Amino acid sequence: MFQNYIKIALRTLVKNRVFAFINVFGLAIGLTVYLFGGIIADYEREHDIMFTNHERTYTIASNLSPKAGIGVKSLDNTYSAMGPLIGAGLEEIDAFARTIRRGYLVTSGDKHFHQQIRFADKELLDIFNFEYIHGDSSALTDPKGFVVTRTIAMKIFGSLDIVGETVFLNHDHDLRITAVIEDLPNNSHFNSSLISEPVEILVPLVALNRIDGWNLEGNWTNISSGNHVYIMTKQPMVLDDLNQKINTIYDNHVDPEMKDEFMSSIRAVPLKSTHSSFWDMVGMPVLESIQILGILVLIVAIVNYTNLATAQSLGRTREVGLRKTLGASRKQLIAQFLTESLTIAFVAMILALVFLELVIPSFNEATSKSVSLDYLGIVPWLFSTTFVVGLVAGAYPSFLITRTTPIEALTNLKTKTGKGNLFRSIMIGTQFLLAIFMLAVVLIVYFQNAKVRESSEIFPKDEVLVLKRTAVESIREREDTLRNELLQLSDVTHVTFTAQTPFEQSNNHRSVSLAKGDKDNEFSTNLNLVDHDFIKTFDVPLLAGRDFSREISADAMPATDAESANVIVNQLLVKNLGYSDVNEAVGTVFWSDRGEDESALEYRIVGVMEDQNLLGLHNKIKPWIFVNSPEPHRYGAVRIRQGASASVISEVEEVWKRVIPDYPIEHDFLDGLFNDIYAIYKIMNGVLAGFAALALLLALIGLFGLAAFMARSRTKEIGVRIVLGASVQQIIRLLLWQFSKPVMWAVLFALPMAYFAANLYLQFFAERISFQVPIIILSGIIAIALACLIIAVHAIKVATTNPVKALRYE
Amino acid sequence: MLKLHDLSRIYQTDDVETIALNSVNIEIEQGEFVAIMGPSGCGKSTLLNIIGMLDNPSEGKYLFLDEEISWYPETKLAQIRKHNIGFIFQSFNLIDELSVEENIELALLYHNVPASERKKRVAEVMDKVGIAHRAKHMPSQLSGGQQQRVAVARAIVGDQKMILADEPTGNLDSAHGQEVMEMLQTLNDEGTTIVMVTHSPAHADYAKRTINLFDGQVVTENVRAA
Ligand SMILES: Nc1ncnc2c1ncn2[C@@H]1O[C@H](COP(=O)(O)OP(=O)(O)OP(=O)(O)O)[C@@H](O)[C@H]1O
Ligand SMILES: [Mg+2]
Repeated sequence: MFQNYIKIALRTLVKNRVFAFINVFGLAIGLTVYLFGGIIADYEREHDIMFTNHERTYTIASNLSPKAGIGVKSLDNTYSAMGPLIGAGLEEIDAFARTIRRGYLVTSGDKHFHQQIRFADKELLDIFNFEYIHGDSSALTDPKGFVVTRTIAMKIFGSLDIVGETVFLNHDHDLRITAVIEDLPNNSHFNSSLISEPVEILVPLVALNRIDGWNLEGNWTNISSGNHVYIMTKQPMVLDDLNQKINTIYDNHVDPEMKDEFMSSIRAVPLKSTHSSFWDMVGMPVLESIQILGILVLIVAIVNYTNLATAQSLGRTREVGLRKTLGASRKQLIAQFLTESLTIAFVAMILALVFLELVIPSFNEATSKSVSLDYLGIVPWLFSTTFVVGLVAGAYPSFLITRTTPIEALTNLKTKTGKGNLFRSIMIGTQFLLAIFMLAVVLIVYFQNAKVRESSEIFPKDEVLVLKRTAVESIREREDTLRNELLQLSDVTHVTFTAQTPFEQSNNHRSVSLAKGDKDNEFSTNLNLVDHDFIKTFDVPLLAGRDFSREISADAMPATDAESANVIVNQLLVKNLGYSDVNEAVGTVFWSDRGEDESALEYRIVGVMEDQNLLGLHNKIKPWIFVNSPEPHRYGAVRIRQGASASVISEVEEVWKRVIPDYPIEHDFLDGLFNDIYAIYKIMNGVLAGFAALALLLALIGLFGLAAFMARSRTKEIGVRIVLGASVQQIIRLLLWQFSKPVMWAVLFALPMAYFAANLYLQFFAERISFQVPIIILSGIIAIALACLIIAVHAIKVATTNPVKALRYE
Repeated sequence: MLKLHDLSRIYQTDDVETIALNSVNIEIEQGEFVAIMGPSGCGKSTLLNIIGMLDNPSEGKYLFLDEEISWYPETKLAQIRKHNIGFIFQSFNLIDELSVEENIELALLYHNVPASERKKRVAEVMDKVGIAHRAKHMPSQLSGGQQQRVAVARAIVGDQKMILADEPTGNLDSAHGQEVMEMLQTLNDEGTTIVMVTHSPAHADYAKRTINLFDGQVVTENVRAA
């Protein structure tokens, strides 16, 4: 019996090749997206399982109080002071280790490299069994130890056999190589963080204590990405139990006010989820969203199948009726139809696996991940998915078709097209609803991104060369020399040093008020530490007052703890202070609260600049204070004449080398810095566009199949119409109308949905596009046009067939 | 074999009520060959469908092999049907995707007959209806007469005791029609009960008894002189 089902299934497939192909292809796309989403999410959630102790190793993350106000609800790390405290207070502890990330200039001989270094407790090497090429797990017991990965060893020394070699940090602090380890795997949190560089160099924390005075007890003040507190318990523990114990320790030591205002509790994260706790931190269910989108696309594909199979099965009522008269029970018939859909699902699954094998390598390349299809592990999942998809997809058509009584079926009493019409229309409508919705969102995101890019043009992006990593005291001392030398170059017009460049997403806040200590009328403002030339270099227009001048000594703060400072502020700040006219504000003072034990700082306004969006991108324009302070600046910015010769960059490099030979230059055009961040928007848009394109493609494939089928099954009717004198146009109009209707409904429903979703997205931006409605309508028009095109192909074919042929067909 | 007692079938469509069968009383013995005649729309097909258990009467009793079956559920009817009744249709109703052989075998698939036995039985009936040389052909490659012979073979392959034929010769020319009639005659001679709807008096003459319907009622019954 089963053989017979398969036989019929295969023959039906072969006979209806086009539909079979569409069915298989559509389901395969759906399955590919679904499987991909699942595999990615799994990959992201299962990191670091290559380490032997991973089951009893945890990182400590933290939950933030609602009052924390830094935009995220949790952090993937905690205070470094918690390491020793848990180490001493947790009965089940085996070992703990902390890592602190710092950037240093690493020197070997006459070669210099800017590197991120993880300073770590020596127990880190007991917890993680790294693969040693040279040296062993005692490598961090040496207070001057220096552990590098294969890549770094090759980069700095060009060799792996380097144990005992000496390196210097920022020229002054000597360390020696104690071990070389293999590069850390891609699917380890050491190497896969989106926010901090991969771990490549390990140095004992005692060295940081020596170099920088870092307190080995840890601290309650600093939390930065890339820092972690690891604990290894004697046995894997129940998470709730562990969390309760470490929070008892936390509560015993934390300052209650800090607990209330910032970090309300801590939690242990199993090592394998440490990587994905980044997503918890962002507060966006990214992994879940990927999985849900995958499931949605799969559903659209299943709907497609159901739709086509339903239409097709109507042509098979006769077969069903006949089987019934031959004694087939409904159960047997349902089994037959489900066998068919299972067969299709099976073929589609195989095709989906082929697609995945093609897609995954490029995905890995693009994201430097190492996702792979572990067939052995996922076989049960693949089978159950195939099974469920086959059953769900086949359920409605088999229910519908086997419901027909044999008499109806054999006498064709009911018209063929009657049944399932509404169902089909609703299904098509739903598919297009999703497709149009996604299309509209994609377009809106696209245009909003274009707007962001356009607003960024306010700064001379291609004319500013940014010099990076200048936040070193000894470079600060040479700033004037460097500036003067650079200005000698004919293509350089201005040079400035600043704590923050445009587009850099960093906020240095100060609370200020017009009257000294007026807590009630305080407001928050952003602060940038600049020199005399920022305004000129970045073309910021001044509305009142003047720019900083070297002639006026009060313009430059003599020391970081000076009592007052001349400042340039923006229009918004002046408005917040309560001035209606910018000219009124020039020459007045306002106050900043520096904290409990420091005196208030007096700011004197010397100039008011236009409200430019220094943070750019999605940010609102904020009040700004520019202070000309003596602290080291993190960036230099070299303004280059328009149409400068291409050699200007190498000229700048030469000057740098002459003035600051001990630190290598790192530079990028402002445009490049902008694009680094803008890339995130582009990727987001790209991912959305991908999903939308697939949804639209599936909807169109479905419509194509359905239109083909309907056109074929109406060949006779259309033949009769033609014989009776209908024109080709009338026939085409007839067919177009039948299918366009659900698409029109879809447009109608999609528009408000897209409008709503678009506003959610746009809310994120300070400057928004204003023409969303036309965009949404445009996406509706695109969908309708595509739909009509697809239908028209069939309609024209049918309408121009010789009616005699059409009539003989049945 | 079967007995219809005061049996009616009323079609309820929107606002029109059609009485297709009106208190019909019919008894058919095992081994009989009965023809049903009457003008178009008088209820012949309706009657045949009810006898074949494809349709349920609105009123009255239907005794099949002394069992009152008019209230039986569909699954039970399907059981009785597949062991006792074979169908032949005016439009053959073969499955286009299956070959001649497979079309015939289809009837056995629902009978749990083992494969080897199926092959044998199918070969036998193909011989019987003279279609063996076309075993591997698809229905579309056969003439109407040949298709109807396949349909006959399918109707009898399960050893059905009764064959219901609704205008089996309606789509055939007279020569092919004759062929099919002779085949039914032979089957009847071997003991199969046959109930046939026809418009052709000549073909009705093959039957031992003719029931004439008019407006859903039995008007006359003629028994052919032996
Ligand atoms: N499903 C149905 N719904 C409503 N009325 C029906 C249905 N089937 C049959 N009828 C009506 O019942 C009556 C009997 O129909 P039936 O098909 O039995 O006639 P018939 O004698 O077989 O005619 P023909 O010789 O043309 O095949 C007709 O008036 C027909 O219109
Ligand atoms: Mg009839």
